[in-house]
Amino acid sequence: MIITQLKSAGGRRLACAFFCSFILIAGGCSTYQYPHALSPEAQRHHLTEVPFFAQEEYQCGPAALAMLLAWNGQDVSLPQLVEQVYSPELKGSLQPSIVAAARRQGYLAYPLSGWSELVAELHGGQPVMILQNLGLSWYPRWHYAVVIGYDQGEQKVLLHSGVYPGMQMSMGVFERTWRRADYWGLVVVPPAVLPGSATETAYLTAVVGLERARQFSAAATAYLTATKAWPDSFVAWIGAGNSSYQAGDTATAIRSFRQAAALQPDNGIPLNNLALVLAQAGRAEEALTVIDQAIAQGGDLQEVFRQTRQKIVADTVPAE
Amino acid sequence: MKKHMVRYVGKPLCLLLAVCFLTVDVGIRTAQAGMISTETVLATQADEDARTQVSAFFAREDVQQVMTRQGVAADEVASRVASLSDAEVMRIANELDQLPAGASLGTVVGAVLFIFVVLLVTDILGYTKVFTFVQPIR
Repeated sequence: MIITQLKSAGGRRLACAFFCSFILIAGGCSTYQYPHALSPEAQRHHLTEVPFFAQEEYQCGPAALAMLLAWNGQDVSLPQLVEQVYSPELKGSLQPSIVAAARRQGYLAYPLSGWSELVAELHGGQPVMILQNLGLSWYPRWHYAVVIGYDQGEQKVLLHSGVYPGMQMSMGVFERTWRRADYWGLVVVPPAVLPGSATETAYLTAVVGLERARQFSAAATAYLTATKAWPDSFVAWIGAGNSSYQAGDTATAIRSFRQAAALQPDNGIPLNNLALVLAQAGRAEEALTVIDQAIAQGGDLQEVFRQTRQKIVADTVPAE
Repeated sequence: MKKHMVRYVGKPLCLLLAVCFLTVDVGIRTAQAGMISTETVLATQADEDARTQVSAFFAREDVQQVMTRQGVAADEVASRVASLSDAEVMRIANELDQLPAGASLGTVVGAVLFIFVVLLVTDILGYTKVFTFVQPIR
């Protein structure tokens, strides 16, 4: 049965081999999730409108990413994605380069690992890119595909895979091939959309990646999205402040740091950053008041706050 | 026999572990004026979460029973966790994450053994003084 499924997935010619050592190491000890991770009553969901991009040989990675981006309204150029994602010498695409390419387009790449998250994303309206090992652990045939639906009654998973749009795969085969890739999955969403399976720390970690990719205005939007879902998240407000500042939105930065400071009144970090933004905006007097508050808090970072104060004083041109 | 083992294996082992720790712990926080990054704040919060998780683990009744059987007082453990570095607590928290929900006592004992190893190392570094057979390096 596995063999017939492998053939229908495109067999050897289209199998998308690539090298990724940490998967080989990490794959050893996970337990089977299916069917325990699914709800007992039969459910199904099918995103019928997900656009399909047929892959060229070995290029399942860029094709799968193109489908997620196009679904979310991005104008996709497949050749450009191939250039950003595909490694010719590996005859495949590494996961970090897929994540990086999504960020370069200003999209948030949110990783997931398991059935419950997969189902949550589908019901939330997001197709999920997954990694499968269509071969065996000692003879791997790595392949990226996009899950567009599932049907518990029929025991099927629906995939855009290789050159086959809407391919059906039995849940058992899908479980085994996905498990060999440690249940790696990825959704790619615009920064204003919260993924259906998002949890606070994992989402913020994903946004930090976007910020690191210097997509500051996208990151600011994503942090503000997080503050709507978790209004008490200190990190989300700090991130909104930092990214807004970098994106040149001083007003949002000031408002966000004030929110963070209100959430943790004994923490000097939001005050430190707020003081720098105020100083930058030419409000040196306010900035000094704020940084003095931070210094008064004490703590491990007091020395940093002192240096911030010196910097503000040094940068302030005395009025003539 | 045991004493000899400690004498011959102990010192080189202490030295090796000390070197490992010193190389890992260098330069984590350097003072610098400027914006404090989101990444730093997120990492700090993750450390705090891990600490809470580890403390909660030791407060569990079944875990306390195991520790009592090992001759470790419960309130002492709290102070030991407090003396562990962020990286160590993170490692323990990660280890605890691997435990399946509703783990049997067998797996819990495994985790406690892991703590045993961590405490052994902190003893060696002179942060703690739990085991009589360890000579601190300072």
